[in-house]
Amino acid sequence: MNSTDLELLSAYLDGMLTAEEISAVEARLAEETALRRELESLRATVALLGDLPDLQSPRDLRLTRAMVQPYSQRRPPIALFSALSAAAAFILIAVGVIGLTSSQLPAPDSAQVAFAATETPAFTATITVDATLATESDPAVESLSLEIAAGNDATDAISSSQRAAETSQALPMAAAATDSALVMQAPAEMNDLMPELTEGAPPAPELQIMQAFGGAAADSADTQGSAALNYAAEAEVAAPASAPPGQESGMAAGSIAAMPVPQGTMPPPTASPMATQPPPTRALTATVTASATHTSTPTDTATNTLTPSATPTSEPTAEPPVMREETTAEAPAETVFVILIMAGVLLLAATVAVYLLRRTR
Amino acid sequence: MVGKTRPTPDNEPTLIARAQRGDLDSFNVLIQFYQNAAFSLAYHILNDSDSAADAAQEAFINAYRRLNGFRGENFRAWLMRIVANQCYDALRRIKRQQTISVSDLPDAEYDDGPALVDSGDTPEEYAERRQLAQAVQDCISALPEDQRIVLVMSDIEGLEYAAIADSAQVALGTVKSRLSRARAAVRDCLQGFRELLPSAYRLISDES
Repeated sequence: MNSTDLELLSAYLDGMLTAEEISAVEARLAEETALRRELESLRATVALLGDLPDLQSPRDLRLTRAMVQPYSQRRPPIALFSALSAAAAFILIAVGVIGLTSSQLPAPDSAQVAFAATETPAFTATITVDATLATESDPAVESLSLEIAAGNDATDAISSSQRAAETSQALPMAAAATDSALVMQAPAEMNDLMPELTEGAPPAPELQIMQAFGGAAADSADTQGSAALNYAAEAEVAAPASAPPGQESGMAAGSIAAMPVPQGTMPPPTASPMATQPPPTRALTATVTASATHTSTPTDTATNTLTPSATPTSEPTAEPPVMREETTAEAPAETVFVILIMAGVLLLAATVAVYLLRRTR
Repeated sequence: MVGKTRPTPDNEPTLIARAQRGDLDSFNVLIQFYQNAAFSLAYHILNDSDSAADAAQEAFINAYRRLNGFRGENFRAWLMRIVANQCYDALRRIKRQQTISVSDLPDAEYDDGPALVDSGDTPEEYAERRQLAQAVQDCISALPEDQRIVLVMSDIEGLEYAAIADSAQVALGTVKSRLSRARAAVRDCLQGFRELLPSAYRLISDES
């Protein structure tokens, strides 16, 4: 039996031939006994195979839920999970450490300063300092003063000193603070001398936050409040004094008004601690020094000094009347960083523990 | 026609629909019904109980995952093609490993092979049937692999040429020729077991 005939017969059994092929095969089958016998043996074989009983599966093949879980769920990629988790932990720790470190170190360049000069003779500097950055640095103030200096015009400053002083009384000059920004408007009347503006007044809400922290918080808060008021008071005093245009032309009066204190008891100027500070040049020089700290971290002291002075000797910053003042959100920031570090360490520990547990299982 | 009418579970469409919605219990009812058939197909191809059970198990898992691709054709045929494909994979694995040849497996651990499903016959009848089944299995496993798979899928499982060609990834004509050669080879092989064969088969064979 050649393979062609075999294929024909096999396909004939399966009904897989065309009508023509069927006719041809059947014609041959009628004549060829050997072909007929071949066909019957194949038919019997196929029937035998088809009648084979099923075999008994040696085990139950029903599926469990675990078998049909996707691979990713069946074998959770514990390594990947651990890696991600550990990475997150390290990021937390890194952020915490960096934040904590930089909050204790000066960061002169980090303050963002926006300067705006008003149309009035008095210059209004609007200083926006990112709250977190503001807490970090006292040297930052140097850049502030540079910015302010840029707007100076000596002659204008002198001639308009009186108006400026009035403005300083009239204008609501406030330290307006948001959660993250400290905005200080400092109308500064200037001569060719540069006032040094070294600090922003703290916003009232954060004063209260500060009170909640820090051991010496209550004291400093009080000091702060009075300090802020003192700015305004001194500005009032200073302004009329600076009114005569010719008087001590080399000097300029600067003032800062800050309104961070809800309770508006205005202390007399003499009540200010600053009054005890020997004024370099009478009232013409308004020295506003507000320093705010955690008393525990003097390095964080930020000094806001608006120092118009005729002579270098008059610079009061050499011995600033230290009025400790909590700058914005410093203590909370540190706390947050510490919490971040702790959370990172905890996450890392948990990650290692979970990883080891899964490995050993 | 090759295809045989096979029993199906009464509520098969319902069970399939439920399984497609993720009801594993319904799918397990289907498995209970088809697991011997799936195992048998795999055993005829792989000629090893453990390998066959593994392949059938994997096939059911694959079937469950692919169940939404089932579009209401013949479920048994659909399932058996998955089993056959699983067997192809198993054969490839075995070849790669080169540790064992499929035909050597019974020698390595010879037994009477898997039990037959109970069909209510007497012990004598059962023994006879089992001997015959073993003879057929021996003849099948003597076939070249490509012929064996085609023969098993067609004549034992009753799948159609097209499905076999699709599963084996060969042309229809290739299925046709492989099948014819496999049938002839099995027929010739079975002559050595004449005493086991049904009388009808014996009569026909005697003529040749």
